[in-house]
Amino acid sequence: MLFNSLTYIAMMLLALPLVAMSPAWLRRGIFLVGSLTFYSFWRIDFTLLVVFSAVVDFFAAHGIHASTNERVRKTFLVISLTLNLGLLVFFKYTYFIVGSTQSVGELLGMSFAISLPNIILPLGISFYTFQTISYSIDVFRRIQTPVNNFPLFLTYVMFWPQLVAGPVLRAHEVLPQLQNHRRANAGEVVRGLEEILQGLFKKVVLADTISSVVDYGYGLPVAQMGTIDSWTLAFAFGLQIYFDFSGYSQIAVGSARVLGFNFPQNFNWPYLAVSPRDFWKRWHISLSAWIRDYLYLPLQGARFRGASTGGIEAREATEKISFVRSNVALLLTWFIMGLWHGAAWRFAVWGLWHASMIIVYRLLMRRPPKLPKAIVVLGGWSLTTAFAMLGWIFFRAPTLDQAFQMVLRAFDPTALTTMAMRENNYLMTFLYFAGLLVVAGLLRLRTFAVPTPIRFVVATGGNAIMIAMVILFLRDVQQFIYFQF
Amino acid sequence: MSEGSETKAEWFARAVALALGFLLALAYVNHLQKQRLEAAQFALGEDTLPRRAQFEGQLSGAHTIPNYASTLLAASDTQSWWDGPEGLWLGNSQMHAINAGVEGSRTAAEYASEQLNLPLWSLSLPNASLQEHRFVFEWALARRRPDVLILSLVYDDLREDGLRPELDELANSTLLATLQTQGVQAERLATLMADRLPDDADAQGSGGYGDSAVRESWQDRVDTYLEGRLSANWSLWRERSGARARFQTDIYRLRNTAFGIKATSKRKMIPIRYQRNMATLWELLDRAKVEGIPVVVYIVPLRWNPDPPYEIAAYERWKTTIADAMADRPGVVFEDLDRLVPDELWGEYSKSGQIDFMHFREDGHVILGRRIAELIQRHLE
Repeated sequence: MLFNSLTYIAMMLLALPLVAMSPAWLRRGIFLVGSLTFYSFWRIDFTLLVVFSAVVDFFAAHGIHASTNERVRKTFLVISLTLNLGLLVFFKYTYFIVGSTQSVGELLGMSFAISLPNIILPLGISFYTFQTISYSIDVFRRIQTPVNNFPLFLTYVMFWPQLVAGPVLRAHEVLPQLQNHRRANAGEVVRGLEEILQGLFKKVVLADTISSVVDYGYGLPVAQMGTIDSWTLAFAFGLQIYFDFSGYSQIAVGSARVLGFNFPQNFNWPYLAVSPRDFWKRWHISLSAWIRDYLYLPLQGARFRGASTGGIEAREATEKISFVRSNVALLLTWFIMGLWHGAAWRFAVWGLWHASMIIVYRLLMRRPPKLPKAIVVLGGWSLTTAFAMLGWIFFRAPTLDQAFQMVLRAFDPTALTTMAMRENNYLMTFLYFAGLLVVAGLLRLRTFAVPTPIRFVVATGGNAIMIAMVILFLRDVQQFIYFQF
Repeated sequence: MSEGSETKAEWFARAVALALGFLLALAYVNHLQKQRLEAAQFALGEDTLPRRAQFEGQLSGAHTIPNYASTLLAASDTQSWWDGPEGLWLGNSQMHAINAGVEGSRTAAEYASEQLNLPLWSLSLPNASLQEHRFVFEWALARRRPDVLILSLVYDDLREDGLRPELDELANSTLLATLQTQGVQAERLATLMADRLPDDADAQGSGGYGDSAVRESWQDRVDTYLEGRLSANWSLWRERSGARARFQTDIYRLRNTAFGIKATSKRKMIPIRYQRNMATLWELLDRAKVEGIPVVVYIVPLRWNPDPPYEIAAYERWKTTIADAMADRPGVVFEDLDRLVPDELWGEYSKSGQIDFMHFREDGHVILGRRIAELIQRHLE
């Protein structure tokens, strides 16, 4: 089921009073049935796949926990990881692996054809797989006690607010809230509704309208594009994916909150980041934290942390890890992170692009420039934003070749006056970005003493605009970009 | 202040802001709805009337996509109604819009039809590009083969690219397959359209960020049901598209005011769009030639007081390019009609005071209709 649909609104309108009126044991049942229904509304057959995956992890975790024999524990862990990653690789990467193998074969003069069946990518497989993997590893690390109640565990894996596109949460962040569920108070319900509204506005109004610029622009031949086109399209997609995904996350967090759950925020104004490291503490925070704890820090040989907060913010300051090992781990991590986002080489390059940004930043910070702080902040913000946006080209361009050409075109002084799109496309992209910065600036005023009546008027006006726009623009369901992951 | 320490007064104020915002939003949408605009009216201005042409009691003109199908198909269903020669006229809003028009005003197509005593199926869309004409021509060809094709050329519409989503309604696999064999631009249009149409896009490799993954799912069915129920019982929901068009018009006007954009502001040509449209024009003419359909090509009448909102030198170069190319094409009659309609027959957007360069009064339609009839006559003779 998609959040930006009448069906989801109807489901929440049904679930809220039921949750409010039911005793705790029944509420847990509502969450499970609701989650199964939510996924089945996409495809019921694939619901069984998620359940199967959860069954294996449930028993594997008990096997890991029960044994004191390290080999037995590792065997159960390997079973769990093999199943989870195996399903992910099969459903998500089969075409990619076969295609890449064929390409390599052609390079070596060997031509072979492999006929593949029509493989459907299960909705949210990348997200729930990461959740179940983290559960098994946390039990192995003995920072999580396996849950004895399978329906409860299945609810954790399938809980509808975060099932198909995150946030990627750890068992210890959700299970206690399920076990000892308490109803949301009135303040939380209001706050949750605000978050749902803001998320819908971002998705339905902002992301879906700028998508016309993106879809048109990335369909143009690069040879016809100018320098400004490349930059505009980089920013346009950067804005689209931000509004789309942060909108989704906000609806997820808001939905959870009105149901009585407290989920961490997944985005924190990433385009205000002043360094690449800062960016990854603000973008898809729960995924960055997952990668940090289950991939990056283990590869470095450093101590992991145990929460889906903090983003990429990594090791304790006291830990000494060699520069080379740290950066090799970084490159490998980002290569995998890139491929997690999509089964194509351009996603891997996108990951390496970000790894390179972080490495350059680290090198620069070894001898920080002695400049006024304002200049460092402004320069850091400009460079981080510009290169993060350019990186999105790899994410969105139809081919790796076109992505490289577009990035090169962004630095082509001979194409400065060439423009391949209508004037409105540039204007819209500029206004969206400028609007984002203005809103970020206005929200900072919250920290100052703004008189309550003014605050009330601004909040009412803001809500009215967002609700009106959602009513006008909510139409044929547009899928979230991250659903393909 | 942390969430936990929010006082009762604070959350109550937020709740009131939310509830009040909801009521204000409904009032605003209701207000927009009362001033709603039909899509066809959006580009015309208040003083200009859209009109569907008729021939002998049969609707022969259409300026919305659903009407395209019903017009041509209705005629095809009644074969006995007409078995003489007939024409197909493709153009933009100039064809269906009459400045200061009143009930009963007639378009150029009707005047031409009357003079020739044959039906001219006139299919027009606001700002229709040559790529869209190409697509519509192929679609129409499969339904009613015309004896003559009349094609209007509008310099301004060369700034358009691709196919508008409403045209999806006309697409089917046969049409797309035909386009794929008809040249580079036609193949591109077929691909563009195919990417938008429902397919087995659950499968990987279908690509795109479309919504096809939910098509035919339970969600799709329930959404359709709820949408139907809401539309049936809540006028505000049912009329959202009109309110949305009104809102977008307001945004468009706000942009024009903020950036000082007027009807007279010069519009630059966009090279890639120009090239694609021109390449499509040559393909379209080649296709008509293969089918043995004679073509009348004309450059549309424009208002010349003041000068049109183009770079005049570029516009003149374009006309020369067209004239030179047409001279070498057998089966094509070409005429530059850009000064055909005198200044006094052009309109204004009365409320905004903006000058209208594209739409003239009924007398202008009379002049254009008669001129086109003469050009068609040359072919049919």
